[in-house]
Amino acid sequence: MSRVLYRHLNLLILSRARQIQVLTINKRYYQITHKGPTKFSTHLFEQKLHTSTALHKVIPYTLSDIGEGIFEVTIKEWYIQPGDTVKQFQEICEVQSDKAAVTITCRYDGVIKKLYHQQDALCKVGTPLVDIEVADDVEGGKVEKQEADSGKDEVTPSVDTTTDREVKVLATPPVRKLAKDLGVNITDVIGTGRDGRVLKEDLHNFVKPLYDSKTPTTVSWQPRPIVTSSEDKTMKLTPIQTVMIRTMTLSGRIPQFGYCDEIKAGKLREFKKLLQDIYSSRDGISLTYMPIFLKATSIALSRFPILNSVYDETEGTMIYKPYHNIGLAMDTQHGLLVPNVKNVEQKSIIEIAVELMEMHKLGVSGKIKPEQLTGGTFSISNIGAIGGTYSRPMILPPEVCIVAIGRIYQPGGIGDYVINTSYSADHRVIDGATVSRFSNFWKELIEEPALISAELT
Amino acid sequence: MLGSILNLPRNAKVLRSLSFDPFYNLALEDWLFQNIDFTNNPLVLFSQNSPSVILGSFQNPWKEANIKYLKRNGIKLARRSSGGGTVYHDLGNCNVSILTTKWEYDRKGNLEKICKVLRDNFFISCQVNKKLDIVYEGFKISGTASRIARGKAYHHFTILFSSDVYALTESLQSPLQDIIKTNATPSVPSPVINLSSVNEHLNADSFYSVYSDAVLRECRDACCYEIPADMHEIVIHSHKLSSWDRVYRDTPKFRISINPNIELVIEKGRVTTLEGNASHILEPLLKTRLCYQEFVPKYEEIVENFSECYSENNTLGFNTLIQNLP
Repeated sequence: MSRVLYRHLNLLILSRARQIQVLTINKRYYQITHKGPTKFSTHLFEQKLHTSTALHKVIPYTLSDIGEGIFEVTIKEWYIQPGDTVKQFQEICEVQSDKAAVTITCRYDGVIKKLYHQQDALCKVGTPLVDIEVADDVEGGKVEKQEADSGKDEVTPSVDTTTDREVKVLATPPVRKLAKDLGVNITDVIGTGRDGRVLKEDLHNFVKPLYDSKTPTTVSWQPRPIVTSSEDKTMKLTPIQTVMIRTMTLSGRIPQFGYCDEIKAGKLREFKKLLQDIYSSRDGISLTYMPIFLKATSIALSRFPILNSVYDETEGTMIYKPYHNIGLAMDTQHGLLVPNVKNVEQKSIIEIAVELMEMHKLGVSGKIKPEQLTGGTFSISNIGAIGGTYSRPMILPPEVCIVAIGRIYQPGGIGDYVINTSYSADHRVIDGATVSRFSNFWKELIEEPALISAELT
Repeated sequence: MLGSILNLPRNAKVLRSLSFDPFYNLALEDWLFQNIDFTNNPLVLFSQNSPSVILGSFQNPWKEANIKYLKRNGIKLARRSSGGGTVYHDLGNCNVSILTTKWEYDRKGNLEKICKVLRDNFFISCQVNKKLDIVYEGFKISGTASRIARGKAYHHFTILFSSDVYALTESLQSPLQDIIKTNATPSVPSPVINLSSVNEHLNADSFYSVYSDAVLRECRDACCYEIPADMHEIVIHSHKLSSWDRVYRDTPKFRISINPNIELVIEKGRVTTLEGNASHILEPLLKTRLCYQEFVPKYEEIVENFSECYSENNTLGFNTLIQNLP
């Protein structure tokens, strides 16, 4: 102690010459009040007794918000008493509210001066828990709001124009990294650590208000005004609606079962990309997944012809059709249409693609020909082009089977791409095993498109 | 070893404890709470306990539990670190503990998820009430408690499937409850029902598989772990939790009114003050722990020395207390 005092006195003599305001010994800040040429400030000796604080002041430490709208807690146990020296993060008491036991830790280093509540008393959130004597640079020593321009990197010290000294933001490297990851300018954050250090908790508290609100702060969203019309609006049914009503009512009478599966679409995507690259540049044909699906379906139907048949209720017969006229559910501006591609079994993928391009143009302009809408033997709904995974499509009579294909996506956002298929079949004449085997075969073709070439006639 | 499994940078882990020892499971929960960082890493701990009564952190075991019944039936008594009331656990109920950072602390959300799982998979329609109990047709099937400390929080709750309701009622009814005066958190009794009486397919295992599935589906890169029942650090901590100090000494100060003339003040599990006009006779009881081994010999000493004050019918009212000492 005397050695420190001696050093201290030396520095004091020096400081008298140079009028240094702030003096540090072993990283402890001392403020020297200069009383005159011969007198030392008695303040120096007082400081020796407090090992970690310079000037001190007593501040109330309030109970911070516990969340969940809790406004009051019961003090269950005090871990400290007046006169105790506490360190930052030391547990000072245990409180309880509504079945939640909460341990309160102290934010500052200091000496407890007063406890505001007895054990078992109630304390309101935001009111003082204890009075604590802290170093003067606490609160004032926290990082001031910087007037430095925001272009400055948060790592370099910023200039504080008020006191005209360089103010470094104190923070450990992990905290700086976290600030960077969170996109927070560390100089904006008030540090509550020792010497105004910015802590992880401070970053969380700073960031929390932004993340609490579900909408991003940069987007201003206005709720749509609710428009209520004064009366009902009666509309006549469109032709497409009339057809849909008739078809779906008939369909509803068919006992249908569903079957779903998930297919890996990695190789399909590559295959499609390959075809697309070649045929769009060379021949101007835009290729989607549909021609591939149609061709694979046709190949599979050759193996399972019962799914390409028609059930004649009146005759009590199954009519196996020699051609694969595969219908494609199309969402046009007028509504749902299911034009079919005739004789898919005789067409190549590219020929199907060309036909689909034309069909799409006709569909957009509302000029689909009636013969395209009849004579279908099997249907595909590519609802995945809009969205969805699994669905429950309804059979279009007099067909006996339909498949709906969902979108291609990566579950969880990473890994293999998959595509979901959902079949519905007429359970009066088709059994689950048949659909399952059909689906497995179709799946093999899609998961390994090279197999399609092996099946071509 | 535990740390190396769980500190992988993944989101959401479901842990199932293979131990049925309530002290071990409480110790496991405490260990996870103290040692694991829950940032982007919430944990769901699923456990079951052999028959036991679990007190809330600042409750009074003499007042909340029927110690005589517990001793006779080998039911354990433990104190947890979270708040709330006293509960009875056995293999017919399960305990779920959700450990997160304090910013993800959402008790209502957690319980509503449970209601959703029960509704979607077992067709049981429950509600979460204001006290954060889960209620089915007015009967309580789940109680909640939680703890927040140092930026972390856990919310744990029970679910009743096929618990022994008779044992539950007997265990939680203390003969001393009227004579003990305390500021400790009181328990609020509620009528309960077992969910397996509503849907016979519902039990702890089926619930666990369905609930863990629901949690894992919600979270990316989630995984399930089984925690063995013999991890060394946890066993050591569980010994601390089963000690007299934790279960009995940590009770807040309270008074027992033996009769209008005699009052004992108990602090830290020991008799510290005697009040009333018979206090001079009862002096040997001072500083004894409120347990059979220490209290009863001293009491019998008093009875011998002051036999003229005592008769068969006049035991000064100590009988009930002595029968219910741990």
